[in-house]
Amino acid sequence: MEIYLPIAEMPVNVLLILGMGGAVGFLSGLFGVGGGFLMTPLLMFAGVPPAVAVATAANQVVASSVSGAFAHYRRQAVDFQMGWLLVAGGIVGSVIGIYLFDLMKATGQIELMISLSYVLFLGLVGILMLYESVRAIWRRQAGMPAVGRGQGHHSWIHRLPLKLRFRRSRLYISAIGPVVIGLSVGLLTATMGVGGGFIMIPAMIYLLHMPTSIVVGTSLFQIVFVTALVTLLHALSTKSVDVVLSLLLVVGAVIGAQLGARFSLRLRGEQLRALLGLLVLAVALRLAFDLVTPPADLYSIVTKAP
Amino acid sequence: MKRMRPASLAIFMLTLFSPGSLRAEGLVADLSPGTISITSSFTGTEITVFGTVERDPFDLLDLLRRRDTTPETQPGATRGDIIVVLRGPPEEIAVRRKAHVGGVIWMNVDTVSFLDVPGFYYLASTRPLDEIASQTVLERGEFGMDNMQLKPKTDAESPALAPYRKALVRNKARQGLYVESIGGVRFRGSLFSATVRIPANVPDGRYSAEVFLIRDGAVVSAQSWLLLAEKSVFERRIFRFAYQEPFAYGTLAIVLALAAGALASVVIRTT
Repeated sequence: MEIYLPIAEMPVNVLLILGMGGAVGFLSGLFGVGGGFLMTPLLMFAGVPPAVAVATAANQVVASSVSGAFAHYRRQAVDFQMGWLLVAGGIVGSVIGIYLFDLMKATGQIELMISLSYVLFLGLVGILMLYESVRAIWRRQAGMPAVGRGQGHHSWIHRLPLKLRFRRSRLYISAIGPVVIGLSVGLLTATMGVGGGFIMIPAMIYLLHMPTSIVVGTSLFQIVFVTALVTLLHALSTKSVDVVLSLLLVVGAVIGAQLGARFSLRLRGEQLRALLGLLVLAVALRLAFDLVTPPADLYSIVTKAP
Repeated sequence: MKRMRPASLAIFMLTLFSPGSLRAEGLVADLSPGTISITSSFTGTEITVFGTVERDPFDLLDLLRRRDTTPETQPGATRGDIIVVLRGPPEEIAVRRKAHVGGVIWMNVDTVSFLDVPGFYYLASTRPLDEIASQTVLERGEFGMDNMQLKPKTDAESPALAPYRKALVRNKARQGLYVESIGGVRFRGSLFSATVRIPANVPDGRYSAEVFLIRDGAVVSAQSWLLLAEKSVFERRIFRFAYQEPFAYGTLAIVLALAAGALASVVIRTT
């Protein structure tokens, strides 16, 4: 069954798009991640223009993170004080990100920028995940205890000025840390169409030393706001949010996420992380391969918007 | 082209210069359907151009010419050749060139923009174009995608633009937006017809359809129509909404996503 996407301006197979949403949803349910970092490359591989892929993936992340954010809110697992600071940073970051995006689009380097960012971030995150999970698996087999988180010792982050007391997180740290983290994530959301949880969660745990029980809820809180803002900014400047594509992806992702969550109970945490690490690396390598192999046609054409 | 006899050469000159020549040959053609509609189930459509070439029974020159050439040796000379051209709305197109930068990454390094490039181009003819008319005539009439006149936006005309022009046509052809169908116009007696296949990714806007009757290397008669290609109501509304009311559109996209996410969690909890 074919459907015409009004903004991407291309006919697509409905089942293919539902399947893609389902696959990404399955993986996000399985690994407990947002999935935006897989959605954007997948859309690009399917021939969706990169700008539409990024803006629409960001819009889809709004839908996939809102129910999770609500669930954590009901369990009181959100630090609002921290959350608002992350959002404030995210607003600044996404405005800068959209400006960069527009600039790169005008100079014809947007594909390169998106691909390079993905290769860099996915490569780095993939390697770290794989390293960490393989070490954990090896330690378990050797009968050693799991490594604890490095809580307690104060890093340079704690010596910054503008200190605030975060009651929910039981922290007394500078406001600069959360704002800078939020800003970086906002930049990624605007330029890559990702929620940014894969950067934010480790940063909150290892840099800010937040309790792990409220990390996911607080990051989802930030993601809902920032992806919503990025959707609006892309609608205003690049005009590349495709609501039809987004809704199809959401439907697929919701179903896939349920299946993934059920399936995840059968696998161990380290094994899951190792698998995710491999998957993330594979996407990064595929994008890197496309960048370094000679293109079939050196020339490409872009139609200027009416 | 085959060498013409002196008699037919004289007639060629006559038809070329006589002011009424475009009406002397009766080309009567029409097309169906009259609009192109891009619906949500759009997988492409077809337009049929059909018509007839009528001859004036009292045209002595024509009789003379018909006696001179036999259909076997020169089919186009007796009946004439038909070229059908469908052209999409003008676009501004940027052609980008990639280079191997630093010996590592392939990235865009150069851009040349062209103005008034047809968004879609379809040509159907009875025979190969170089058998129908001379290169000069083909270029003047912009017959064939290699004879299209593409104006650069800012750059001055130079031979360096040639690869960009070729690349534009090549890319459009690869997208199925530039098509040449040699032999796509078929005669059955004095009736001809051609089927223009329009793919799903054609741009919206005004299209022109033209039919040319070419005899002895010159355009002797022509007829043209204006067509409108539009996305169906639903897609057009979304597209216009996104471009004309971007703030409201963006807000709607957010609200839809929030509602879909909330609805999903409710449905999942109850099942």
